[in-house]
Amino acid sequence: MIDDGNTRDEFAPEDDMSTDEMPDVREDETLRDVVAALGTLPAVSEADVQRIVGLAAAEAAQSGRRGAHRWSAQPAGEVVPLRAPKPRWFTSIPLAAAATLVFAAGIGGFVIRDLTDDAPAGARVAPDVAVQAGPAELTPVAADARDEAPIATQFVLEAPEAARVSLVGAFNGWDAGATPLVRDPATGLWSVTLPLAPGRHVYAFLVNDSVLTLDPRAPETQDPELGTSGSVILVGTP
Amino acid sequence: MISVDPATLAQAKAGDLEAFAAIVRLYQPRCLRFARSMLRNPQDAEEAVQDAWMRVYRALPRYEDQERFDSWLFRILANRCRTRSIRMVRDQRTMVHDHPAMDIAETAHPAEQDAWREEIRHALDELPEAQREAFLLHHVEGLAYEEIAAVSGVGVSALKMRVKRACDHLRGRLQEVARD
Amino acid sequence: MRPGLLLATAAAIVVAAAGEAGAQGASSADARLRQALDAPTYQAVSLVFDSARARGIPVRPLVNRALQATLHRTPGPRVHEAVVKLAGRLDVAKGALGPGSSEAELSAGANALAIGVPRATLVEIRALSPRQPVTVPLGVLTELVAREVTINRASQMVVALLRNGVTPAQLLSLSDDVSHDVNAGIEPGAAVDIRTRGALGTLQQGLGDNGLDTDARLKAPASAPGAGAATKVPRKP
Repeated sequence: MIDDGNTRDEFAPEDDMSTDEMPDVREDETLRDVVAALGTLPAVSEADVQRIVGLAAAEAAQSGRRGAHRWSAQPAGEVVPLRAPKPRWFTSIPLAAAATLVFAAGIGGFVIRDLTDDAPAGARVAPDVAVQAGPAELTPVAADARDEAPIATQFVLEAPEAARVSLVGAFNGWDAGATPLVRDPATGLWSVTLPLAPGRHVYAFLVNDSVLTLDPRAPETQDPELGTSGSVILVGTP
Repeated sequence: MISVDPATLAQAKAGDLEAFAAIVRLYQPRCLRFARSMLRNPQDAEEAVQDAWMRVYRALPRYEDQERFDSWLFRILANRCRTRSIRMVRDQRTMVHDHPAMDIAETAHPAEQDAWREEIRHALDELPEAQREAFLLHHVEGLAYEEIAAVSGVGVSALKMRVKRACDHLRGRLQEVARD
Repeated sequence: MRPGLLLATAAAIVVAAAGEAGAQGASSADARLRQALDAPTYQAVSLVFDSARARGIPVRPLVNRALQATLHRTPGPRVHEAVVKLAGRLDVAKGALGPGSSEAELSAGANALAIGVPRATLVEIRALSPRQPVTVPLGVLTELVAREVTINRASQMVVALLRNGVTPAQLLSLSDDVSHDVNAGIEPGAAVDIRTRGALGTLQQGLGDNGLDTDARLKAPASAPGAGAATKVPRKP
């Protein structure tokens, strides 16, 4: 059942009716005007579309829905150039090295080992049954057979006023929709954990689909060719 | 009538949010148009549409290609509008019944400034919900009676009667206004 | 970590892990590029991709570079220029690291070249790790240079440690220590020297009597002359 909507008919008894008895609105001036007026399409803003798709993306992230990474959100407003964040975005939880916490064996090993059971393509995967995800999802990002195994890496950002936060870097094709962070209602911290190949990665956070933000706890690196900067993490087994 | 291409639909079914966004972009105006005609309050209409899209997204993997997407989408949207309408009527029983002035104020739609649209709005509101839905789906959204039958769960002939009654009411109610 | 957050992050791992997998990811990246770039720029970068593919250079880092640029709203000509330059660096990296190098290694090599590390250092690092991935050593080297350690000093450090069998984990730990020292106000070169000596001492203990002496291990790599400064720094107490 797709919907829980009410389909019962609580109105007057209805007689059978043949097509030739039907009124033709094209021949009735009043009805034609009514239909024309009602047919005017309202203007729809891109922000409305982004809000709806953002909700779907958040739900997909929660449920681990397959293929949901393919969303590159278009900035709803003016794009603010990459800039250092405001102090209130500094995370206060104790983390190793940078804001970025690398788990050596724990989560990464567990998830990658357990994601081996087959599941039908397009199946929705609830968080507690993530082990049913398809084998295609095992392919580590930006790693290949020659490299060491990817390591579960957590990114955290304190952005209490943000509606959406995502992580962008070469590891996800700088795709704004690929790696949404999930907000913990208890702490207000946004976080995501993903397997990254060992090595040096440049990344940024995209806040509310439009503001590229550096990680306040990670080193910053300049990119003279693009005239930008990014945050850096070195990933490896501690 | 615009409709989504099968390739985009297939991508969206596979979970592609980019494709889903394209579909939302394509149908959002029609969805809002329908919901605003069905529900008095524009905010309720927007919420019903948003709710419908979330249900569409969840149900997409199970969507069968044999059914026209428009028909499937409007079935979900019409259900959301009905559910919301029932809740609204229940909520308004205590609030509005003794205050006709408030009722009118709530009915006014900010986008509908001119008297003609306002009259249509009132005339539509006077219709039983099932007639309003059938009329809008057939004459405004262009759905066939067979498709509306799937939406509303009633037979084609009964639907035709609903549409006829709606037409009769709207004509009778608006003919004089139109002549003014 | 609370169980809810753990589940959420586990779900996020699934989503993220699907990121670049398969041909769908590639076509999505191409679609995003086509949408984000003006037509002439898209055509121009596509030619760079085709040319790289024909030469056996991985295309994904080039596509990612263009996508990075579009996310930053970089003007079209600059996007093209950045992609061309990266393709050139990937060529050099492939020549230096060998044709069997992984995409991640070539990207790491290209990034090291971008920050000024000479090609000869890449050759030397590969020679020291013929069968081990060099992604982490190159990443650490790049990061040290980015933290304002001179290219020579950073190269000496990485090469000397690789000669003594440093693991990627130890290298990363060392890099963290250097960053910490630099943040605490220590001059980057001095921090590198202190930490390198400390690490070499540890490695020496682990290796036992391997016949290596510290001065020999700190000998400058061929590509990075001027190692004398390292011996001027007193040993860490």
